[in-house]
Amino acid sequence: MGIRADFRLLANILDHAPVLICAVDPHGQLQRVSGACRHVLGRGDERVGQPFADLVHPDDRANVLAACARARAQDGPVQFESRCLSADGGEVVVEWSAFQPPAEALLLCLGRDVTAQRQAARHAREQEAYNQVVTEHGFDMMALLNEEGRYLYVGGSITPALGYQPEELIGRSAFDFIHPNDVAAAQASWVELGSQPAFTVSDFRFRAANGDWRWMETSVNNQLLNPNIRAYTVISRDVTAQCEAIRRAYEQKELYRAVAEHSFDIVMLMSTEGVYTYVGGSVQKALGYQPEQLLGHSPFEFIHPEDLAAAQAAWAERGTLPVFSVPDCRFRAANGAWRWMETTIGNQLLNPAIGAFTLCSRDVTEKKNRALELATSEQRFRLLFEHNQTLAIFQDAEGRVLDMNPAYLSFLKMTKEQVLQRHPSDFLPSDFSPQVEERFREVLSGQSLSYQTTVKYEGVERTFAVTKTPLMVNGQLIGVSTTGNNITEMAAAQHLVQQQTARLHRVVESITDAFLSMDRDWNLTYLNSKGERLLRIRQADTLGKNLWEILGQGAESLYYQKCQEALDTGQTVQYDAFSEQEKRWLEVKVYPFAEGVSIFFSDITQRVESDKQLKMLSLVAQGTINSVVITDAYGRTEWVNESFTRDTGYTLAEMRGQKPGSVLQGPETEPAAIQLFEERLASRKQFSVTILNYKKSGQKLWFMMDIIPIFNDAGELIQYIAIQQNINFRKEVEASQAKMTEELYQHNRALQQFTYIISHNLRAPLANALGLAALLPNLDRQNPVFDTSLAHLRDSMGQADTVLQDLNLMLSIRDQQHVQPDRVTLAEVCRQAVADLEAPAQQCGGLVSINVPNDLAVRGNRAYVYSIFYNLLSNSIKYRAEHRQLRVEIACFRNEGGGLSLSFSDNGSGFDLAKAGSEVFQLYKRFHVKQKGRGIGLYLIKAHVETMDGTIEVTSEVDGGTRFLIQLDSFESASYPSIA
Amino acid sequence: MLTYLIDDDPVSLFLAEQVLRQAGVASPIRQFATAEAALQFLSSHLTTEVPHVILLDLNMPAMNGWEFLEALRPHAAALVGHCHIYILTSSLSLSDTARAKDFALVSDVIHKPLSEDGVQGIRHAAEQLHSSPG
Repeated sequence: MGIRADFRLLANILDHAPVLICAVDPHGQLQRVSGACRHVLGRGDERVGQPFADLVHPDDRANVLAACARARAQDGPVQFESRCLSADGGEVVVEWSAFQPPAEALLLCLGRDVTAQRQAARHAREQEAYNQVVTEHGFDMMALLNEEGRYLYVGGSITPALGYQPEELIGRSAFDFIHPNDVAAAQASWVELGSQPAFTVSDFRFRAANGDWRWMETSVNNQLLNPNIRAYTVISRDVTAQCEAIRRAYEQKELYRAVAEHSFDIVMLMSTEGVYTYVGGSVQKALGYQPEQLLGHSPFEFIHPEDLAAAQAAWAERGTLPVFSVPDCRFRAANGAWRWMETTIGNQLLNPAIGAFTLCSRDVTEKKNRALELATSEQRFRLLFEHNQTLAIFQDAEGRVLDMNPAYLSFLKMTKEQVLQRHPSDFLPSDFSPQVEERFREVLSGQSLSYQTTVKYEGVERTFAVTKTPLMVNGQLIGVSTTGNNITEMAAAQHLVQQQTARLHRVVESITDAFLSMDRDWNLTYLNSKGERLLRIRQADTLGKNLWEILGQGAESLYYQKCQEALDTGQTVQYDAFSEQEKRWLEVKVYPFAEGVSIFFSDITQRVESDKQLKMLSLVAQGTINSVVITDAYGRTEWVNESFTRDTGYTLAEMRGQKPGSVLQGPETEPAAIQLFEERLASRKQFSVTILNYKKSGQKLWFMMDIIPIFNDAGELIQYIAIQQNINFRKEVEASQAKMTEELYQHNRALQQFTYIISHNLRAPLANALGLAALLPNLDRQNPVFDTSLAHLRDSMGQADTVLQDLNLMLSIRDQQHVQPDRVTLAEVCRQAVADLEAPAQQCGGLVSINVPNDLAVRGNRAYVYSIFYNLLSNSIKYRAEHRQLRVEIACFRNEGGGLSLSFSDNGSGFDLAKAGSEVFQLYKRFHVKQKGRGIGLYLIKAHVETMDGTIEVTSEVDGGTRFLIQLDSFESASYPSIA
Repeated sequence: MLTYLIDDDPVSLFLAEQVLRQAGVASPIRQFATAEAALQFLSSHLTTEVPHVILLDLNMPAMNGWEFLEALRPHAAALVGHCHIYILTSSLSLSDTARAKDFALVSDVIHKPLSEDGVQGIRHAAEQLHSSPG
């Protein structure tokens, strides 16, 4: 057909077709071979000029030469088969078709590699032979089918023939197994001929159990009316081999077309109306369509909308060109996918043999995609180049600028035109250019180069990470690409990190402690300078080495054991060790961490020595009779001596860690004293304080404390020493002094009272006497006033004498305060007093009731107790209420506290207590005008009671009576007040 | 010169009256043995009979001289300018003299025994009071 005309155009395409194409000159020599020869036979261009027969297996050469001769002689193609030799020595079976195109000197031999098919055919033949042997009756399948075509029975021969077990088919429709392309014909035969007694169904492909399609020749017998059967009997024979042979024959006839089909993906004819009139079978492989699906349709129906306009334009502009190309367009495949098709159209309208346009299309999707990808990646690269913040520059091998990205231009503040074709040294700072040029020369050697550089441009210093890459094409350097990443900030950050690292290093170095760290294998990972000095090793020599080996210490050494302990337990280990080399005590702290351990050595020589001193001090402190407490800087007890324990009852074990104050202070410790203590403690100076403490037993304990703060060499407060003196004795003295002072005060008060008595009560009668004495000389002895005055003078002198006697009595009571007391039985003394006043009591008709148990006794003076009862009863009689009978009740009882209460009450005239107030018991105070009295009774009673350490209270109501309540210590419980 | 004598000591009362009479006082003299009695009489006769002179003892049972003076404060307006009160006490205590100054009605403190010179001073003061206008 039109192929001949387009040979040159298509030659290239054919070269890539899988078909072997050999052009043989009249001398039998190869003039041209297609690419497929290279692939299949492994030999190609080098065969040109050699005999065609050399390609062929020696045994087949004669046949091949004969066939070629036939082909040259006759008009149509000649088919033959030959074994060819592949480059690797293998045999390839090639099915050839040779023909002599008209007006050509060359014989065209088209070959197809059918090695696999031949092998398959041989296998098939072998299988067939086998089947024929095993088949019982010469057929491959015997079955009974019902009217619908469903299997009722299947003979056993089907198993070797098609691979099914008979029972697999029972109940299923025979049509289910027939090839979709054949089933319609088969069903038509079934329906048309079903009523006839016997018929043949046109050959159809039947699916074998392994999925292969087998051509089956089938004859059917209608046995529906046979009561024994009532079914169709179907006998089928596998005729696949025959069908293949027929098909091959057909193909050979159609070879010419086949060449076209193999050369292009699709070959089509199109009428002047623009619809397909012929579509090559390869369209199915290429696009998935059956040829007939396209016939009558326009190609434009299948073209992608975006490509349609271009395709239509090309079509419209075809004119009378014999051959023209349509722009590549996307064509819709049967599965809906778009395939890029490259199409060449030949105008064969004038060719009477064709009278149509020929369309040769090739699927170029892959190529197209690759091209698109290339375009995309170029675009991407361009974008990167244009928009990247990284400075980028292309130079040719001589260093001239070919391109520069906007970032670089902006850095230089120049336009592209200013830099193109110039050398960077023309516009870079002059001091920077030599470096740039040197680097450029380096990269010219063909190696990529990365480095950091700092450039000062227009006063701003920036740091760049520069990469120079040589551009190589076919092994030749055509230019250099340079990128510069501004890492000024990063460099600054790095610099900062370096600084900080250095600083950290300095910190570690400035740790006053020796310090080292090891990994878990005991390899030294760090050692500061102090550590170097301590261990007498150098970090530079020992880093990464096993510490124990360096130190010559084994697993038995204390260091090793402690480090191992820290690693094993994950806990910090601390211990003290003496360094023989340094003659120093070290506190060693081992801190385990994930990568190993770090060890700090602190010099604690001083502490150890001060501990020793402390111990010596303790020896001294133990010897002293004063309590000694040593506390830490926070006041927590570290040590107490034995005297402390003796004084307070608290042992060292009980005190250790406690603040002494919190243990020793108690309820009566004055808050002011505690506050004073705290204030002075804060002053960090030595001080003394006296404070009330409590022993463990609860007894009071007065301590005079000297607190001495102890400082270390650095001036830091580290301890307090408290030396405490038990001053209970002194406190007792103070207490007795207070008592004496009180007594003196009492005496003083008594003296004041004495003065008062002198001024009023003693002077009153004396003043009267003086007045009367002055009056008398002026009076006539006969005047009655004279006698009266004289009598008054006598009375006044008597009064003065009485007062002097009272004073004597008073002072004598005071003097007797310290006389040793006796046991005084209250009941006895009371009855005595009452008996002595019986006469005046009876005279006024008074009743006295006594309710005083006989066993009650007080510690005191009998005369005082008598005086108390006598004076109280005397007062009751004297100040009785005139209009009623006097009743006096005297009662005594033991109260809860162990003391005795004496109650003395009467129903007499009483007095106004509010008015009398505190003066009730004062000397010479009188509250009654009518009755005579000196106002000394109550004074004496109170003096007597107080001399016996008792108290007296009075309640009274005018015309209601009076009650005295006296509290006295019982003889049994009475004791002198003691200093607690 | 109407005179009141207030003293719990009968000897003192007797002596004071005798000394006043010896000194020539002829006008009436009233004696009170308790301060309460004197106060009651005085407050009920403020409009009819205000004494020119009161001689007051300090040391008395129940109401003493100081208490009497305190009780007299409400009537001070009626007495001032008409009545001289003299404390007549056996006490030699300076504190009593000082305390007397708290009371405007008290003209002076006289220590017992009352002498004729003392009476002349009282009489002189009373006559001045008497002779002064208003």
